[in-house]
Amino acid sequence: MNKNLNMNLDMNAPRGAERVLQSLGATREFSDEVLGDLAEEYVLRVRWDGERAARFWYYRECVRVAPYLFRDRWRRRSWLDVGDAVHAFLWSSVSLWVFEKLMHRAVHNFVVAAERTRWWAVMPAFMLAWTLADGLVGGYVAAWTSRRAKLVNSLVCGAVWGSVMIVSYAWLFPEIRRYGYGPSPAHFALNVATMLLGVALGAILRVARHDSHHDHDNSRTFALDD
Amino acid sequence: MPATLATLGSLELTILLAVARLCDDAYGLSIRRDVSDRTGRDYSVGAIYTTLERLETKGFVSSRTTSPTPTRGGRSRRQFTVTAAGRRAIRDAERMARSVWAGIGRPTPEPA
Repeated sequence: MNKNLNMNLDMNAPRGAERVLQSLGATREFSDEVLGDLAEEYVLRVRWDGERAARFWYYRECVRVAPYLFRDRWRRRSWLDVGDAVHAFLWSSVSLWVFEKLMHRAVHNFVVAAERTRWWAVMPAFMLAWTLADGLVGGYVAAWTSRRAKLVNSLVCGAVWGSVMIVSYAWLFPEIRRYGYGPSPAHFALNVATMLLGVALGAILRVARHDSHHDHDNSRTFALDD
Repeated sequence: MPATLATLGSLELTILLAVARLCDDAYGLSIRRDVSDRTGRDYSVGAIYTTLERLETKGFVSSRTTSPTPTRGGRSRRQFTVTAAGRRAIRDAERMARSVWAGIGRPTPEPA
């Protein structure tokens, strides 16, 4: 009995990955077909190749099917999606602002000392970690406050913040070049990429751990003889 | 070229043939297996369903939903069947392939 129970648990498709795919906002019919096939093949692969190889296969397939699920959502886009994205953007931007204030207060002395020594040049790791934390908070809150297509909304927020960063940098670039005070273009590009990575991770962290609005309550146990 | 074939891509034809071959067992996973085995290419589940949807829009296949199964995490299968228009398209494709290959009985000799 116990052995059967353990094997059943092992053979469930990774639930977090399923939630992430559902958060792309495809129709329930389409995502059910795709996730159902993946779950069925996952069970077979656990039997044939073992759980580790099956998991690896499952995650690879998740990456491959994500564009199709997103395309399904895109085909049914509406003004409600825009409203939802704006709602998520406002909440996450306010959260980011608060987070920035708190961080500045927490590490104020450190930053002041660092600024005297051109911190962009001497502490790239610190700045990257800060940017990653910003992205994580922004992406998490955007996914949390979205009602539909949570992952998509977070990525949209990340794209808007990234664009603002790029425009600001381009605007300030002549000054940066004149005074030699500020991140180099390569360092800046790394910052933007880190922020986008943080946004994606934050959103995935949120949707992988919580049932999305789109989610359904499925029976997750089955016997091996099914 | 017959009108039915004019709107049929090569992956669409391959999947349509798989649906015809699998009969009552034609659903996403089995179709993907069949197509991958025969073409040697590993198509993603999304690519198969997107193509099946296109075929359904064109009227070459129809589908029905079965009852949920535990192995699919409580989700149902979508079973596909070839329609009369789909069967016509398969016949047209076969006829056209024969006509295109006519006269190619043996490989052309290598130049010396």
